[in-house]
Amino acid sequence: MQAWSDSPDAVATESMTSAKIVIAGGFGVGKTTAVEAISEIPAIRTESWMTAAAAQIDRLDPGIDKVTTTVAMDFGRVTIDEALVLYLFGTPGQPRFWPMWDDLVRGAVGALVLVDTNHLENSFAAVNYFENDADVPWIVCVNLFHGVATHELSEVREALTLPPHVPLIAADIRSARNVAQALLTVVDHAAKQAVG
Amino acid sequence: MARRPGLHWKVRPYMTARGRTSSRNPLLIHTLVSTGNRYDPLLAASLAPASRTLYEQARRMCSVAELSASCGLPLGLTRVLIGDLLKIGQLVVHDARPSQDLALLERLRAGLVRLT
Repeated sequence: MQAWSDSPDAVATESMTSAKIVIAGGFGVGKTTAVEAISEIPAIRTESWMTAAAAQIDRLDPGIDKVTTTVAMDFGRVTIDEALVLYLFGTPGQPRFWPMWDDLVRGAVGALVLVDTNHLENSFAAVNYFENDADVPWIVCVNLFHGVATHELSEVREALTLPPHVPLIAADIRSARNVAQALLTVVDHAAKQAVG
Repeated sequence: MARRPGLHWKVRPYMTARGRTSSRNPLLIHTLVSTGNRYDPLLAASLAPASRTLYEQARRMCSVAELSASCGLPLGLTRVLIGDLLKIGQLVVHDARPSQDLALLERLRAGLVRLT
């Protein structure tokens, strides 16, 4: 039937579809570790260009109000079933890359915001973003760096002033099973919101 | 001439995309594209280098982000070039289901449960 095609996916392609979950959080919180733990391929790095307002340059030279910069992000892939692929995208950590988050987040099933309880402030910005500037379901996950919780989840919720409807979990994101469980929580939360 | 700085990829995009930096096709980064079952070697030979690489890579269905990475092209340019190939019917965009579709969420759930 498709004898002229050399595409290995030829039979399945027509009905294939994809979904996306975004993994966000501050710099060094373990986003790429989480992607790598569960991805069936090594995390891939792609680059995008964005134009960002550059305050320092503005002050030095009023003639230049924008700079173009290269943004790298890591992503991975998980085959869910024979016709569905889940992509995981780690957000670029630094605040100056935020405008790119809108592009990353568009069409996502949901987002997993990772926090490190020793550097909670690194993830404030990500929490702010999902609370105020995005309309995808999101949850927060405390990264248990050595499998040990150093703070009660209730304390973390309070410190982040998380709204009560946002799920808060803890996971060792070096473990594929833990990451799968965290993603499952994202999907369940999304389903709950979809039902209304 | 040992180095040809004009061929550096940071310069190429403008040339390749004829100045365009965005595409009218709102392709999501995880949207799946492929050549479908219609890979055409003659067409491939006629394309500009960046588009040809992209067209070749798309023989195996993959996401916009994967194409960007495997072709070494920035995301924005990848979108523009995919848009061109879509316009002439040489690439296929695979069904992108709404992300809040309950049937999709149920399939995701079943798949993830197997990994826990």
